[in-house]
Formats: sequence, C-alpha cells, structure tokens
Amino acid sequence: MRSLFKNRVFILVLSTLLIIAVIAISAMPGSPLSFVTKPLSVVIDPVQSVFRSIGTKISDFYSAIAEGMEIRKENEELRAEIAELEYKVQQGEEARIRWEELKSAFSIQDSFENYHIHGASILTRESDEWFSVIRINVGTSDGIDSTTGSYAVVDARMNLVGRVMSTDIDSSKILPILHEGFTVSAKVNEVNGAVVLVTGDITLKNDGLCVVTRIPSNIVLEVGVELVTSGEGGLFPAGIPIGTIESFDNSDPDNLKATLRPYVSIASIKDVFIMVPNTEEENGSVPATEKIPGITNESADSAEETPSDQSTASEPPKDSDESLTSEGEV
Amino acid sequence: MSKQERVRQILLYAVYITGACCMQVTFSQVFRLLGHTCDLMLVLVVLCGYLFGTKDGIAVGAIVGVFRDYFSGPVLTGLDQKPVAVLGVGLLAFMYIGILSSLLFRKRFRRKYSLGILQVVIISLIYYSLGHIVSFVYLSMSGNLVSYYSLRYIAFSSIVPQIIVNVLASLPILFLLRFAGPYKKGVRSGLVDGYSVEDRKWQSI
Repeated sequence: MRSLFKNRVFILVLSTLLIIAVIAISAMPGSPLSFVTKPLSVVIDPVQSVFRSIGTKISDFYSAIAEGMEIRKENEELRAEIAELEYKVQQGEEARIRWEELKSAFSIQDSFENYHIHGASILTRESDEWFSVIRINVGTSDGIDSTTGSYAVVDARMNLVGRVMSTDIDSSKILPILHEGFTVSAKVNEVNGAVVLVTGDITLKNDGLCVVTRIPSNIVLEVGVELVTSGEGGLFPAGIPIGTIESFDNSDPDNLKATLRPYVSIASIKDVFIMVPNTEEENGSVPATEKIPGITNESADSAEETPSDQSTASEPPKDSDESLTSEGEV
Repeated sequence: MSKQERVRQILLYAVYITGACCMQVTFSQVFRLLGHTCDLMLVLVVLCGYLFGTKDGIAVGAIVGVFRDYFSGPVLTGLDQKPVAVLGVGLLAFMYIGILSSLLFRKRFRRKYSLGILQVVIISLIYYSLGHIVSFVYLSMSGNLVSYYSLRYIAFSSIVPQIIVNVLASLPILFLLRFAGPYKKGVRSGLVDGYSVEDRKWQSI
C-alpha cells in the first residue's frame, strides 16, 4: 500500500479523481464547497484590490496628463450644461410634487421601489472564453447573500448587466448577460408587448449580441424595438431595459429568431448596481418578488400600511472611481 | 537547496503568481490585442513547468488554477438546471498544463529558453483546441447548443490570435524567470524529473 502512494502515476490519477469529485460536488445545488472560497476571498481580495488601486492611480495620472486640454474644454461645456440643468431641476421639482400627489391619490407604485440598490465596482473580468464570469466588490458582509436567492445586476442607467451567481465575504460572482448560460424572460416594451426569451449565445457574445427565441409566430420584431424584463420567473423585476433588436430572422416560421444588442457595454463598465428585494418586514406582509411593479390596484388601506420610506435606497459603489451617487438613485 | 534559496524561490513564485493572475483579470483591457487578452496565467505555468520541471509545473499550475477558478470560474449547468460557477476545472486544467509543459519535448528542446516560446505555442494550441472541443461536447450533451463557431473561425479568429498574444506575453515572463529567479541565474540545479544535465550551457538564451 505504501509503495502505491510512492507511485507518481497513482498519485496523479488519485488527484485527478479527487478534483473531478470537487467539480461534481460544486455543481450541486447548495453545495458545501461554495464556502471554500470564503476564506480564500479573505486573502485574495485585498491583494487584488491593491493591484486594482495601483492600476487606477496610474491610469488616472496618465489621463490627467494626456487629457488635460480635453478636460478643460469639456469643463466649459459642462458649466453651460449645469446652468441649463438647474433650470430643468426647478421644473422637475414642481413635476415631482405633482407626481407625489397623484401617486398618493391613485396608489401607484414606483417600478423598483421594493428594491434596495447596492453599488459595487468590478474587481475582475473574464480570463478567457470559458472562464468568463465577473467578480465585484460586495459580498455577504454587505448583505448580499446568494444562498437566499439571486439578484439582478444593472448599470448606472438601470440597464440589465447580469445576475449574482455566488457570494463570498467581500466579493460576488456575476453571470453577465452575454454569457451563454444567461437567460431572462423579456417583453417588447409596449402595452401588452409580446413575451420572448433572451439568452446569451457563444457565437454572438464576441459581437456583443444575445439571441432572442420563443417569439410568438404572429409577431414581427422590428429592428430597434426595445426589450425589457418581463418579470416572469421572479428573479428580475419587470421593466429593466435590456437592449434593442438588431436583426430578425423569420426564415423558419416555427422557430423565429432575433438578435439583440444589450444597452450595457460589459467591457467598459466599471460600476454596477445590485437590486436586492426588501425584506418582508420592510415591505409590509407581501414579499418583494411577488409584487407586480407598475400600477397596482391596491386598496387605499394597504397603501397606508406601506412604510413611508419605501422608496429605493441607493448606495454608491464601494471604491468607485467615479461619483455615481446621483446616477445610482432610481 | 539552502533555506535562503528556498525562501527566495517561494517569495518569487508568490509574486509571479499573484502578479500574473491579478493583472490578467484586473487589466484585461490593457493586455488585450487582436481582440484577445494575453493569458498570463497560462504562459507562466507553461514556462515554469518547461524550465523548472514537473514539481514546479504542478505546484504553480495548481495554485494558478485555484486563482483562475476563484476569479472567473467556468459556468456549468448545475443539477438543478441553473447555471453555477464550479470549482476545480481551472485547478485540473492548469495542473495538467504544468505537467505537460514539463514533459513535452523535454529531450528535444532540452529546456532552452528560446524554445520556451515554442512550448507556449504548442501548449496554447492544445489548450484552446481542447477547450473548444470540450465546450462543444458539453453544450451538445447539456442540450444548450444553439450554434457553435465554424472551424475557420476557431482556427483563425480564436486560436491563432490567442497564440500570438500569448507569445508576446511570454517574452517578458521568460526574461523575468531567467534574470530575476525563482532560481539563481535562471537555472534549477538537479532537476528532479530524472533528466540529468552535464553542463548548463544549453539553458542560456
């Protein structure tokens, strides 16, 4: 037996079998191996953050030198824009007061008011075609826990980025929208719009496209039509913009297909926002995922029971390179 | 190997591994050429295995594999039909890359530094070809295969550009391994994989 363990081939075969067992166990739902990465994250995340901050400082320094003239010109344009926006803010404030009055009178819910928005920065991106999930810098210590359910991830303009797959103490893995494993139920963004299925596709992801399937046979998706999340399945709240139709293929009437260009540019985003449903206590008695966003017909009594601070709480990204607080508010 | 040399070896390997892994996934846009990111992790494992033997190849490969799984582990369909980021695929793949690069053409190449680039080409070709085959088979078996790249695309738009950027990445890494360590003068005395060397002249660039 002892001589067996001195045999290199035997050790190699044994190691291989053990690793294959690890792969199989980690693919199981609620796998105990998901906790293995938690202690690992305590060591690796700080080291990786150091690399990231050094890189950011070098990049900022280079940008400050290279883009000085450009920034000065942009600054002048922004001053003019600020003056214009201040006027619009005044008008918007009046509109907001009216909206609040109407909202109260007709018991209208904001689309995402039952969600907390957690800001996060992207730590790491894909390694190659097959190792292609994204890691962000919020985790269980920030109240994001994938064991209780997955969460939708959006960018600063509320466009769909992907969903949270797993969480560690200070970081989480995101499955991006272009990944071939990603699927979301979507609908054409109009009243009674057709419900379709948007999935990532291995051959389209390098072109930044997704495939649209399960298109009803009587529907023609025009190029430029916007798709939003339908809310079916309960993971993604309804109404999150996904992208626009790039092409429509009706050559096979039984299998209509289209390609969709997502609004989000995964390669260029630095910060993302995680939509965490409020707890039952925060929502009253109805779980967030069961509420249908948009206009509801709740009675005035139930509206009164709703806590007054139900508006979406937004937190800026941790270690964000840009101040996105105002953009993050939904 | 003296205690001092062992400490130096471990420290330098730690720096190389964390440096390569963190730089690749953090600044993937910076290391991007021809639409592909330099696979610093792969190149490091190949060169360590090729130059310093099987034990170093396995150790560096396994650690880099764990990093790869942690940072951007592959997504498979779990038993509940939901996508799940699995652990161990990177560990297995990179451990074998470390072994393969230390054994493949060992006698013919004689661990010459200049031929390390050729070893990177060969292992990259094997890794990305096998990756596409496994990916195709897995997607077919799991019923998720909507479409797959054409052979022409795989050859000329995926594998060839990736090999080119990996070769470019291998130049500074070769330079580091030769002149900065983990072994003095870039030579590991008494390679443990059974290949004895009378003189070390063949290891010079």
